Amino acid sequence: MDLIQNLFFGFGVCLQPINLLYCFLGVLIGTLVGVLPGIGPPGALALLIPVTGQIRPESSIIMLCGIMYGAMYGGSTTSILVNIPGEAASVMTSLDGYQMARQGRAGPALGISAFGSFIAGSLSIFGLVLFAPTLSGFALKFGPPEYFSLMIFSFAILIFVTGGSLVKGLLMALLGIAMGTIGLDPHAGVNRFTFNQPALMDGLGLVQAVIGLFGVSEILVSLETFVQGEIYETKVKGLLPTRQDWHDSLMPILRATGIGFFLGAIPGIGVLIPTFLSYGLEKRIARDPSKFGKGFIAGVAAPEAANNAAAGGALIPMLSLGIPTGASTAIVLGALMIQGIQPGPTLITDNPQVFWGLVASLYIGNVMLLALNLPLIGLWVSLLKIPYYLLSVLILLFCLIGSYGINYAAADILIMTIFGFIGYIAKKQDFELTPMVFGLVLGPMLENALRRSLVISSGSFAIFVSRPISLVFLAMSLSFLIWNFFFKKRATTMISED
Amino acid sequence: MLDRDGNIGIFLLGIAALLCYGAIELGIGKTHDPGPGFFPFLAGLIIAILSLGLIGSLLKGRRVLATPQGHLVTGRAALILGVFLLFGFFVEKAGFFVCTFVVTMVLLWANGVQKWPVLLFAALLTCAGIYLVFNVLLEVRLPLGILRWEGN
Repeated sequence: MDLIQNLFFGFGVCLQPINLLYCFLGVLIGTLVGVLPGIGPPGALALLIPVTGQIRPESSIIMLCGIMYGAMYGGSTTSILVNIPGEAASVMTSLDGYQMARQGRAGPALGISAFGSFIAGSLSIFGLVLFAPTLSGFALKFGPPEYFSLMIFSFAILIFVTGGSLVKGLLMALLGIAMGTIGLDPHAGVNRFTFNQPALMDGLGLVQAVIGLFGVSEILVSLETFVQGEIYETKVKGLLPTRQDWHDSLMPILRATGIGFFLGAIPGIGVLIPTFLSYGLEKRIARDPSKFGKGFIAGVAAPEAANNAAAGGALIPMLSLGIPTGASTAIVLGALMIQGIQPGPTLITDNPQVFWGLVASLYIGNVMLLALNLPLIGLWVSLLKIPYYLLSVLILLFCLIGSYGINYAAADILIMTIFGFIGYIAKKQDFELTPMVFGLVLGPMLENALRRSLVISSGSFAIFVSRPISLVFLAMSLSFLIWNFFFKKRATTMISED
Repeated sequence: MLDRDGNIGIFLLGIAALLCYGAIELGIGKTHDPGPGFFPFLAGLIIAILSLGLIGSLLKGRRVLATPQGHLVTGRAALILGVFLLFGFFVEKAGFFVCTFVVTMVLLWANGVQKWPVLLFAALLTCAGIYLVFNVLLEVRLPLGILRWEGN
């Protein structure tokens, strides 16, 4: 009963005209980000955070999350029509989607990707409503040691699932954590590593850092590697899938929703891995696996459903525990903190308008995306014809304006540029950027939890292993790190073979 | 002989040493009462160990992953980052629009647009667009710098 009341309350919040407008803006920008190469959801989210500072928290999270799942929809268009995924999460879609386009079936491919995304997105909202309040109720029992171990666990999974080496992943996370200590120490009230620069006293600034890491560096690397894709000249017609298409796609959509939702809810997994696994699963259980890769509609439906369900699942730990699952959720979490809202188990009870408003907006946003994507496909395709050099100049200018617009301080541009350089070097040397963003966001919370735990235990580190929940998290973290060190190469090979 | 990853390892080792030194200066405190330098010291220590691990594995000839070859920083990337730094240094003195004008021209030039009339027109158009959106529509006061005159 409470659930229905809360949902009505959420719809009441989301159906306010201003929130509907922000929801629409979010999904529209998200689709645009998904369609256009050069800037991903983290960069776009970071660019829009300065705007959200002037609007209500529920409106800002509705818009930011709209960008997150809107990008999943938009990414499929470029995968199918150009064979260049606008988003990494749409890589698997391009395998069969592009082949379908070449066979003159671009319409059903785009149609099933939109419908599959809609079904998965809608089902994942129900999962979110069911699991998030339960998990946050459980997390209320957590003290500083449990939180510390949970954050260590998040880092361990993140480093396990992101590509590259264990050492490089850990180094990036630790650099992020170390940079998170810059600024005023909340416990002792002294400035740390600020070099008497007023701009550093409030910390490095997550937004400037993320714009540099995901906006500037992305463009710099893309300018060296990007090749303008040739748009396959085909008339997009007959968007509605046939009865046979539905027969081939419905079960893959449902299976992929389950995979995407549960994997997406694990901190660090993100939206990419569920798409690989769901595609791999469908291929493995198919009666005729040879159809995959040659324009089979289930090969489009499954990864598209998986990435949308994962985007929904990713909100569970973020909203109920205050733990991000990837770079995008880390930025949304940072945006909430900037608004003065402390994410964590008390978010649902302290700020019900934020949680339930968001839940309702997810559903409304999914309906908007369905209405937006199918009729506007022609527009998205024409956007792909914009030369990349023009697009990159525009994005770089937005990065400059976005970082300057946070505080109207020139120092923010310098910080963004330094992070742009760090991101550029890191990308070229196969250092993952997401652990660094995790470190920047979670670092201050990690330090707070560690110091409070040590004060509680009178300086004994045994507190982390003497409390059962904390011990479980630490044991799992250790297992992941050991697994990563000894077995990852074999596991990665298995996944890539799939 | 160390490659790029090895050099990055040495660089990070230096960063870790500076971090630990700074943390000690701040005061590490005791475990029952951690000081402001406690956490950064811990982070610095682990970064140092991992950097040594990275260097050590390379010295033994073991590579974790093959890293890309070619220039680490290309001329175009260096130019764009340099222009951004100059933008940061001069935006308040020269003004947002003058700086944006110059930056737009440089960015377009770096991306292959070589004709001066096109560069000038595109830069002017960009500045006009930014002025319209930010100063007129959003009423954001971007610094005018040298374009400031009496009465505005």
